[in-house]
Amino acid sequence: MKTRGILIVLALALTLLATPQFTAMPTGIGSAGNDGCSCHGGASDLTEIIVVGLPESFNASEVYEFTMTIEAQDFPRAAEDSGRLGGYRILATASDGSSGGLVEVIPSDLGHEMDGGLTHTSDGNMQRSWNFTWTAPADDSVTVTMRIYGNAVNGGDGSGGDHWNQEILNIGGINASGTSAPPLTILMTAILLAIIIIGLGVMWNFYQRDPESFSMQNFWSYIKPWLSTTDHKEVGILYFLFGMFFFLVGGLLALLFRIQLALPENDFLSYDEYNSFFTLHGTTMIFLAAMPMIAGFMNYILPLQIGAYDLAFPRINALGLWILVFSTPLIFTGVWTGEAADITWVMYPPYSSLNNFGDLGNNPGTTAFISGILMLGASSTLSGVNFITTVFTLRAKGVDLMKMPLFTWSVFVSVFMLYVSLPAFVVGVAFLMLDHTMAAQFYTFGGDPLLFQHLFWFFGHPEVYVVVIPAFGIVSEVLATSARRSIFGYKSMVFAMAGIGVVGFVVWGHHMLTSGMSPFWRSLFMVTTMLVAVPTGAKIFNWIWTLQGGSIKLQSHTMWSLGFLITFTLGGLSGMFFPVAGLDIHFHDSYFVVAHFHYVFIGGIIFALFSGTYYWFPKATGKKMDERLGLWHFLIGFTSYNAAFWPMHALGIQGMPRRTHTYLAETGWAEYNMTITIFAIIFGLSQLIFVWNIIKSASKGDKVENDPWGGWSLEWSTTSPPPTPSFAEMPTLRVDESRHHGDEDKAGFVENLVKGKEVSN
Amino acid sequence: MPAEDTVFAHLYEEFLFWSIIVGIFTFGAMFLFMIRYKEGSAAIDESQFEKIEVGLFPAERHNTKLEAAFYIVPLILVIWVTAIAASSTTAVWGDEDFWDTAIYGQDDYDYDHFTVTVNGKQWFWEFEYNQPLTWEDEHPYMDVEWDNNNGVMMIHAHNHEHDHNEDAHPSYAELTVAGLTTDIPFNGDDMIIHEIGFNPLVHQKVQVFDADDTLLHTWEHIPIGHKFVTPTDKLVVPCSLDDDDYTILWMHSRPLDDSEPRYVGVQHSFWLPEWGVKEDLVPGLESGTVMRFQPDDAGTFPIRCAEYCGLKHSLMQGKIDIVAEEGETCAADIGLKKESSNQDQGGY
Repeated sequence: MKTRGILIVLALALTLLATPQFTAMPTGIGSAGNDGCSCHGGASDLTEIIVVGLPESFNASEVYEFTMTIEAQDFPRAAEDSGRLGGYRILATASDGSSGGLVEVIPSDLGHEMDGGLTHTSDGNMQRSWNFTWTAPADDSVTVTMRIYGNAVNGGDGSGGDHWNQEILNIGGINASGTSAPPLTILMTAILLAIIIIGLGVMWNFYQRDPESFSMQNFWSYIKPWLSTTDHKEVGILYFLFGMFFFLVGGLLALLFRIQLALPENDFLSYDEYNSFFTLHGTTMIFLAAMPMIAGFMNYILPLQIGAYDLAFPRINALGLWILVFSTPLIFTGVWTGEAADITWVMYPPYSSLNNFGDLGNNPGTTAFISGILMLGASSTLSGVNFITTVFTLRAKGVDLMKMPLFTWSVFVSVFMLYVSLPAFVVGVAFLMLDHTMAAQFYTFGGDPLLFQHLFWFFGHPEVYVVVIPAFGIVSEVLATSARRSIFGYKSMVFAMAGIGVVGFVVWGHHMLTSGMSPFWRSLFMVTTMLVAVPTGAKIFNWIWTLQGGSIKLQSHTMWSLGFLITFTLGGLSGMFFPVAGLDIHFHDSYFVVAHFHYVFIGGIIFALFSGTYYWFPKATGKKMDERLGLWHFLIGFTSYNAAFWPMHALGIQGMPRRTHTYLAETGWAEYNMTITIFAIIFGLSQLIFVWNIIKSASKGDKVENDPWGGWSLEWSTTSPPPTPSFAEMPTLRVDESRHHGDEDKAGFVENLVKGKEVSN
Repeated sequence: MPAEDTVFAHLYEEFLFWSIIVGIFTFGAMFLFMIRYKEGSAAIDESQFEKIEVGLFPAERHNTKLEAAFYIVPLILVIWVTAIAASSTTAVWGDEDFWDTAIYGQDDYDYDHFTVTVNGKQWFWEFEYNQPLTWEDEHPYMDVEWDNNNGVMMIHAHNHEHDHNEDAHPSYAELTVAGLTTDIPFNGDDMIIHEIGFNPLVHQKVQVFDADDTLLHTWEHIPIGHKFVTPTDKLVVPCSLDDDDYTILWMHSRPLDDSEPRYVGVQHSFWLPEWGVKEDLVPGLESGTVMRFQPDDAGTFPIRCAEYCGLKHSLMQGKIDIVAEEGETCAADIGLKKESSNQDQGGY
């Protein structure tokens, strides 16, 4: 008992010692009051702190005025009233531990600083309401926590009987992470609404077919075949629509950050929003828009062109699609809360592996983003295996390898490239995932960050050809058909694609010319990269020569393919600037690069996809797309596209880095940026004409026969739209031996070598 | 836009020229054929057309010589531009001799290179001087003198002939020694500002202002090991006076906070648009990366970060001052700091 008593007394004594001593209450409270004050009778709900005038979010260094008032209910005054009414202590701290700005009382003799906070003086003790100014911190990316303590004094000099309370306010800087994000909310709400509208539209379409018998059960039995389809045509359409939807989503993201860049020193988007928007824009456009749209054409057209009933592995094909679909929520994780991945589409470590490092590291959404990218790798692998197998095994009679249409050839080359490059990428991203989630050390802390860059670009550069070579295929088909001639130099075109497919694998180092690579390797990559221009140049000349001596009908698909020739050539020419050491070390990561790859990606791939859509739409739906809308789409789209992306070259030369949130007015970049933004918005809007054309023509377009444009390949031999399986009877490809043009090709050896096995299904 | 006398500017002109040539031929042929062979045109000879029929692989249309030419012409052009480009590699990164002497420090080191270590951090640049620099901007009527005899420095700022120069009316001087600043009023035509113990290991700076606080003249001594940090400070390097002299930057990416071993910093890329040069800063690369350039004109130019480095990547900007070493004159030394000729300042 005795021991316990002593211990209790000791504990009490220690507690008393630890309790802060307040000897100067009339002149304010120091750091002891920081966790709510136990002095002056402790905290009480009877005292209410009212703060008026502080903003919800602050601008850097702006001065705000606010008033703090203490309201005390039923408050007794002590008999020995000294006239003291109240006291305060205000602490402002920023989320990164720095100062939360400067708080001053008006007039200044009512307060003084104590222990890093502002507290009252004796004079300040005589009232219950004070006016303050707050000068916000210069850094607007922090959140300031304002802790305001107020004491309703009972009038006496002592501390007994007073009532304290506290008010804690969090004020985010306009660029603080995790604060409310209006453009972001708008964007994601728009996407959500679009998905709902698409769903309702499908439902309405179904309802209109037979309003009488509409029920949700019937609707499900209508929608289920689409969700469980393994038919290459339906999977192809789903791929295309998926890609088209994300093309618009990616475009919307781009328009939001173009608005941010339109004016110098703009703050329309916060750093976090800007960084995650361009990350998602890049990833979306390449992996969720361009590749799925191309996969749509591959799925739909390739089996038809070689006379196959379907792909070799229809169920694996469908699996590839659905893995892609379900990777998207992972990629977009966190976008609603402003915490989406901000690691750029190239995902360079160490930054991409730095999670839980606050502002220094990446956003929390990155983890899910990387897993989504891994799923894309799985999806591409599964769908790729199909095309190689199909081409090798399911060609109809007469379709030798050297008799395949160029689009099929282009898919074949592209999928081979994908297969050689993808493993490096998946391994690289898997390592990144381990670094990111399990503190592995592949790229950080003793690991080598450049290893990732090598793995990424070993995939990344061929990936460009993976998407652009099928575009070549589309353009080859369209230009030849539009000129009513066969393609000039068929074999030369095939060898050119194969050549690009080989050379494309030894050029990746030109993305890393500034990374400290040895000058020997830099020179080597310079030479190999330059060589890409040879087969590419040959292709462009062959296309142009195909037009020679033809009879060119300018339809929508022809115009987009001719547009492709212009923009892709321009993009190719600007590409020649990068492998050159003396030019690359200026252009690397500048807007010149942005201009170049948009000329190649939009001017090359997307324009070809537009062309392919106008060209094969009648095959898929049995109806022609509206030529008048197609013309407007081309005129507005092509012009605004060039007006938007051409000035980026100039910005790059002038020294504007890419991925920059904003820029100073004195840089002189404002006019170009405003121009780019205006025309980008017009380009974006012009796509609505295209979307409308697809919707309208699908229901009301002019009906067509099997071969509306006068093509020769086997997809035109089946009905429009084709039945399932895709041919009523097995087609055969004959060869026109009646005549030859130009000089005779005597190289029978190569022909025999690659002559395909004749397959009859 | 990089300056006219840079490797970049020269190559850019060459490549632009060849691009335009290729463009004229390619687009010229394309538009010619588009017009000449537009549907219904008289030039069309349908008898030449291949038979295009569904299910019939059309007669091949080819001309071996022309097809070969379509490969050979681009190949020749590529060889030609590669030759032009290859010659630039040495100009950009230096020849073997340069690396052996300046970078690896072998053989006799008889060049007058200026080296600075650049540390990239989230999100600012830190410049560490590997050798001292004393510089003074050239002003026609003003001079700060100093005397290093017996470790005592006498700093004079005198207005030699200020009667002839109505634009410059010095009012006071600001003396900074090791971060402490003192203002000294100007009191006449010729005056001794101060007499202090000169320590070559301490950063010292004298700036002369007029009554409106306009900077008229600067003298500065930057000791070895001194660090400048953006955005407060600029990187100051002397202009190269000889064709063989370069400014060499050793670059490292350094973590801001090394309490967590896994955090090794992130990648940055140091870009000097004025000379069209940049190089990445690679975290964990012990040796660092190296960049060289040859500034010849005095002036103030922007520094930018080109590689995305996280939240405030866009704020990672700075300025570089090219100055004349004391007693020397840069190619375009105009006294008061000129800003770069184009409107290419700052960045954000």
